[in-house]
Amino acid sequence: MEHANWSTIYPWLVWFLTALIGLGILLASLGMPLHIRRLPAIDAIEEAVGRATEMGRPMLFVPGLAGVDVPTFQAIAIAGHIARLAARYRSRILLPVTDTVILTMAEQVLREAYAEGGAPEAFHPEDIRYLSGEQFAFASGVVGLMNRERVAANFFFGNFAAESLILAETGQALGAIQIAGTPSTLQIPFFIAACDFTVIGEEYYAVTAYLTREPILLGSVWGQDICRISLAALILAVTLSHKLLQKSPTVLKFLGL
Amino acid sequence: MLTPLQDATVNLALVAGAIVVSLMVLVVLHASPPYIRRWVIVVVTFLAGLYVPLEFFIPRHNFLTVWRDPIGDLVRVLAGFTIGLGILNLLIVHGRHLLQRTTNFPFSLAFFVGFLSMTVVEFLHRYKPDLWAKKAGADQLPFWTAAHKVLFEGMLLPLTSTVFSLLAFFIVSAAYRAFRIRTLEAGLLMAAAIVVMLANVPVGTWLTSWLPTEGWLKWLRFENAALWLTTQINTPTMRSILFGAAVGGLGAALRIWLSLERSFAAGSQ
Amino acid sequence: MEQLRQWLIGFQAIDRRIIYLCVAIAIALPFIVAVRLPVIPTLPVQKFYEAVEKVPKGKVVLIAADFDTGTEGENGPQVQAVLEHLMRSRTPFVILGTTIQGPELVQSYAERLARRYGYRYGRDFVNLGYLPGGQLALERFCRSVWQTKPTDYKQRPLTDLPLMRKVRTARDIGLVAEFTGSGVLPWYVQTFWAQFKVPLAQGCTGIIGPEQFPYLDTGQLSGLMVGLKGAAEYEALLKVQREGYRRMMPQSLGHIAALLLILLGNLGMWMARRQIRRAGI
Repeated sequence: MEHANWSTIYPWLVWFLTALIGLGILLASLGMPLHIRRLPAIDAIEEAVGRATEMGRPMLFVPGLAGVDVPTFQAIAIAGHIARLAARYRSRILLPVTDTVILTMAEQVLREAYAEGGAPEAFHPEDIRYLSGEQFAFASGVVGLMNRERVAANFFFGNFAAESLILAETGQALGAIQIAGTPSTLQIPFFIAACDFTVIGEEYYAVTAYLTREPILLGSVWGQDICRISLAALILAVTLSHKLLQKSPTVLKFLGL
Repeated sequence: MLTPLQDATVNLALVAGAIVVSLMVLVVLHASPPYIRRWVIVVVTFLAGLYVPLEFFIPRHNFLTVWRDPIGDLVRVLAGFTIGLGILNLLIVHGRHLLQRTTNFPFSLAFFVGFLSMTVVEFLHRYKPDLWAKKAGADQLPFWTAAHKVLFEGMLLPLTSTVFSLLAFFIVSAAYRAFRIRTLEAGLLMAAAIVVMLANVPVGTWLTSWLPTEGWLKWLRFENAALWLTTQINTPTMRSILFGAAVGGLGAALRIWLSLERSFAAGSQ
Repeated sequence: MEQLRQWLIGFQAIDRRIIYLCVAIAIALPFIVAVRLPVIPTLPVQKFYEAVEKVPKGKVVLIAADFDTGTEGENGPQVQAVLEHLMRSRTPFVILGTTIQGPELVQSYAERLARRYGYRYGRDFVNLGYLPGGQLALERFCRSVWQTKPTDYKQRPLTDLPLMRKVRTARDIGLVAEFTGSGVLPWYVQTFWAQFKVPLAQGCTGIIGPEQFPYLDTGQLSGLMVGLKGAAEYEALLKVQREGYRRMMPQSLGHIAALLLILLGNLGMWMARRQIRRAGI
């Protein structure tokens, strides 16, 4: 549709879901205690950073193949967290990118993260590099980087396509500890097969909340969970009352059926 | 809404003016204290993110719709800027390796050879295909067009296809390592994988081609079983993960739009 | 017997280079020993074929070449099969791409096939080249083709191309046949299909195939070709044997090699477990 059709459920549903997430944020900022379950993959990040430091080898962070989009923003936020940990031990993080906007963002975020970690001199801008905008040229570049630098820990967060297995298998062959997270459903099996820890599906969008434990972010995750439950309930209700709905064409039209 | 002007002088003046204004804005922002810069980012992010949903949710053609095309053009122009930035970064990184004769400088040399040859050939192929060469006959390709074909179809295409084909080997080694049947669920997964893998090749469909195409026995044919697994088992699962990820994406997008994700927006200051 | 058992146990940890070698041999073998097996078209590919057949007279087909040289191995045969179908049925088509390399690759296929079917550039097919800007640019293209792409891929004005005189908006397009190895289908669903009700059909790589089936299920996609097999099935419907068909045997043996290796790995694991259980550990 070129513009929202308010005689169907879709725009109302978007606003309803947005309101639920907003409610979660509001309740959290008013002090509602919120619980988030463990994400073993994220807990393992500190272990991976420690291991790379012990081995005296750098870490590699790949923020995915896509350009400026929500999963990549999440990936850069996670990179910032890892950089704050790496700053403690003065370890290096190599961050190859496919998009120059992400290049400038990543440089800014990592510079600040190293400064906050108390080691601004440990940050090397040349470790954040634009390799290529082409999928397999980028993959070849990252594989070469992994092999030349002998990375000890790999972090794959963001949107990935077919090159995910090339990156993960190469890291596996090198013996690096690997942690991956992607909302790309098709790449999840490859990461699960080749990486030590994986964050899948909607867990990916809860990572920043898990890392920072900021009430607003936790509230947003709570809101998202309520949204999913609501959607499931709606689907179930419509499926079960399908026969009844047949008698009401207006409701069917509203539901887009 | 904004039709391009036909006058070249006016266009050049507008471009020059835009560059001057942009530089002034950059200087002012650079000189501002961090909290001002943060507020500028928050406000610009909010307004930019407000446009698309507002234009969409207001029914029918509205006062914001006329800006859709200029904004589409703006996105394309910004994409053009980023190409230059990427090339600059590559030149700086590899140039440094080359000048300082680091251990890996041969790779940087290879980069420059590939980059320069491709750039020169492509420009000449596009604008002057007969430059410094004998004029091509009726059935002949101009020299630089032929060079473009050698580089693009003769080198780039096979090279990228080769890297993609590495997946075949990596998938087998990853599957060999990971596909161990230790539980009932793993066994079911393996059985489904065998059916789908064999259905995707003629060998599999040939193995069950003797089964009838009608009746309940048709579901034992590999291609029908695979289609059932894909559409009745895999598709609902994919859809449910997509629902979950879409809601997660909505939440993350809201947080970014409202600048609640501080860690990347303007630092955690 | 004990030696056999130890030999089988060794299979649970084969050196990866041996695995690579087995796969390489399996894929190379059909080039030496010619074996051909029939390909049976499945429903999604039949739907794609019918979608092309049903293109109304007077409308064009948009070939969206959203792939690059990396996925040319799978998307290439798919596009070639569809181009051949279009040329046989004398349906005009327009090439466009949201990747830089895609339109150029499709142009070379079209030129090769055009010589066989007497198709002429400008009259029967046009290449509009690369369209930067993602979904926003596609939306604009749907509303005004001429404003978004005033020239073809060689900077020739559209006024010089007779075919383009009848292609002004998405309403003049009878089918969008999209070929890709990445997840750009939602762009086309949200623009061509949702706003202008133009039928969509997709040829995609095997890796992203499972993610496209929900769209086929809901009717947003009129047809779907997945991977090289999809191309081979389309060629079977056209009653020809081209690249798609020729590459199926190497793929067949590759799959069988993979399954055998997985089986051997599991066999080795079970033998080792049995040995441990017998030893009472």
